[in-house]
Amino acid sequence: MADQVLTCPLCGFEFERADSLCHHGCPLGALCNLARCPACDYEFPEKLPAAAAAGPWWRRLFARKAPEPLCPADAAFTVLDLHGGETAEVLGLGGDSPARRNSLAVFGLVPGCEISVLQRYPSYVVRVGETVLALEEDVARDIVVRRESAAL
Amino acid sequence: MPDTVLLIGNPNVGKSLLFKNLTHRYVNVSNFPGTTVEITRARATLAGRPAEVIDSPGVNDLSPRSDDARVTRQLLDSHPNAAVVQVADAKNLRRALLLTLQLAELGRPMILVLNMLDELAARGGRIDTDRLSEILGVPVVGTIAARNQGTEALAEAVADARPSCLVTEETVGKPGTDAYERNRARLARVHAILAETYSIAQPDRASLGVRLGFWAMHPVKGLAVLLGVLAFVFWFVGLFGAGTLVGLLENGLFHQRLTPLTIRAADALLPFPHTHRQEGITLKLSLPVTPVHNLSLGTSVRTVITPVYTLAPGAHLGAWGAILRFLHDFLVGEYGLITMALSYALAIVLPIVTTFFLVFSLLEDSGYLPRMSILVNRVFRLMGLNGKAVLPMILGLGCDTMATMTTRILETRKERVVTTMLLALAVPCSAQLGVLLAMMASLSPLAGLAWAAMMVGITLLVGWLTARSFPGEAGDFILEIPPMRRPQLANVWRKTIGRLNWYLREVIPLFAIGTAALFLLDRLRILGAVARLGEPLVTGWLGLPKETSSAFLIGFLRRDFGAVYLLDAATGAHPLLSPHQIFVAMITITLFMPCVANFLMIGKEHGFKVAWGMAGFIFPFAFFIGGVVHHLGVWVDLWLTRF
Repeated sequence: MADQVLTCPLCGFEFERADSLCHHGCPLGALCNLARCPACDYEFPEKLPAAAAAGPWWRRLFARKAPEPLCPADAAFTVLDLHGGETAEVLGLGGDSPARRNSLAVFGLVPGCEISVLQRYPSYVVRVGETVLALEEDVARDIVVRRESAAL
Repeated sequence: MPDTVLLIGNPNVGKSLLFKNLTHRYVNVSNFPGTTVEITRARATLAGRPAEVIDSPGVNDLSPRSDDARVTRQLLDSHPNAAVVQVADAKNLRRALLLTLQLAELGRPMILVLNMLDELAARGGRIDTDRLSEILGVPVVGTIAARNQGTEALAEAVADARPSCLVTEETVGKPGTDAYERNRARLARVHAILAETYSIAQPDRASLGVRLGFWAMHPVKGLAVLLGVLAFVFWFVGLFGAGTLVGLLENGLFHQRLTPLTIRAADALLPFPHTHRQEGITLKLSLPVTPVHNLSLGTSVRTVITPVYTLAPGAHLGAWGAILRFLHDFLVGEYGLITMALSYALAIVLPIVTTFFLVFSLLEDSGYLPRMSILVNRVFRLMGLNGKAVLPMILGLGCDTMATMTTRILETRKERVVTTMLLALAVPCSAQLGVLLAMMASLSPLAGLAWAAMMVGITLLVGWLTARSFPGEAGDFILEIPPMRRPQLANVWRKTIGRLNWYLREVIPLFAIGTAALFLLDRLRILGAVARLGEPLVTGWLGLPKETSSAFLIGFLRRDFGAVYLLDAATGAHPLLSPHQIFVAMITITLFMPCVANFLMIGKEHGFKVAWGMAGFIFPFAFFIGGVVHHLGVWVDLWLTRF
């Protein structure tokens, strides 16, 4: 674990864990789970909260969920903003999961294609070409679109 | 000419139907993406030469790490000389060509089949097949599998299968990029091909099927459709199957005719001095309208002999007589192989399971089930599942063991385990449902509702707890919605027969073994001894008479079997149970693990550690809930009588 490479979330500097400055001689010692970036002195937890929540089942049972990020995405339109019946052009697929992007791509949902929202509730139902897909909100949120001016 | 042919294609494009046309053998054709779990193969004559044809599950993506293509990739690897026949939905060429490019990259000899050409024509679309064949460098054949058109042309074309010439740097994408980027590059190439060869128009007017399809997904109308479907299923399976048909077979066929006949035959072959009790068996034939209203069609009463008998007074059985009596009891006694196992399996279970599978196949064929998952996705999310789990859950109402096998269509291990757990715990299979319905008939409809509400509540609660305590994530809910189709009765019928076949082969031996074990345990006085050990639990904690403890013992083997005993104790000739006790017994036995076969299937699918873990939770939990219901009932009763 000594050569674990960390990336500073503030300045993006990559460094090895051993270079994390305050780990030497600090009274907190092994109890401290923060790393300090040698470039900008920003302190951050080494592990993501999601990983910390793993553990025996009773801990997961009572663990609190990781808080939602404060600003989920930029202000671009997503499928969530489209009305039922509206058609738009897909600009990009967001989200941090390449697997999810690919599972949309295999249905032909890639940037450049047209997407029509057929229904919004209880789940999103969209048409891409000749394929009708049901998506849940989490997935629909990650599909960034450009509205067609006629629809506005 | 290749001697093996692999059928590959997107889900729902008619692969299985083409397979049937090519080989004249039938496989499940269904309208829920991902139902072909097992691989089917058959021999056929293609272009005058014998060849083996292999059907594969539908895939959308052959990328190395995609999970649903695992079976297909293994098939491709294990048949290096096979020709690939890619089946495409002519209406949805875009997605088909994505797969075509992936297959082309493998460098295998292949041909492309454009199926459902009639539907394309109906939409005013057209495909320039010659140009497409030229671009791809492989033969392109058009078919209409549903009407068996183009099959000969396809069989001829297999001989011309050759590797596609289309593999270039730009189609494959840069090496080292992830699956998504590569698929994007392929789709860009597909776009260019489509521009040259393909046109389709949106339909100007929505057909009835399309409109019905939308109603089924609508939050309000969809719920109405769902309730309508459920009411129909309940009427057809619960009232018609479990009432009319079971009555006809159990009383009319077995109790009135077959059982007396076999008893007489056994008495003639195995004589010892005894007389069977005579009883008047009533067959009431009626068509159910609601749970309490019937359209009576006729009644017939026959006085016949029953398995219950008394020894002739003063008779002394020698050793030989005792052996005869043992064999007699083994075959036609109260726990007899014919009088109990066969009549139970064929008269009670068979009609219920048949009606259920019939109605399930009907729903599956129509394309309704994926729409149902849209409606339930949010609720299933609470249990760490997504809407896709609705298929195994509904199938579980038919047979939990079969449903456990179908959990393979779910993406993550967590979803598979949670679904399996809920199936084993709270989804009664149709055999048990029939018995439970009969028990419920002796209670008020309110008790039936309370039972259903408890099962739903327990499903939600245990699902929620399991989801939070089992590591992992549920997959994304991205589900293709196939068009609504008018179910083809021939398909539905064949599918029902296929499932029944599987079920009977699985279940009848179990019934026979279970009954034989029960008979021996009873004879060796072990049944009584073990049941006495469990008595404090049954009488003290559940508040049930001690006679019912053997029912719970049998419930370990098959819970519906145990339920039959309880039914007998509840509504038989000498009722032992009060309504309160019937309710407690119903709740407890419903929560039992379905049967030994289900346990073995869980072990096979998820490992025996998981199976034992589930059993270790389910049985104590069932007794715990049963006891809680009993004690709560007693308190409420006391409280009500005081005021």
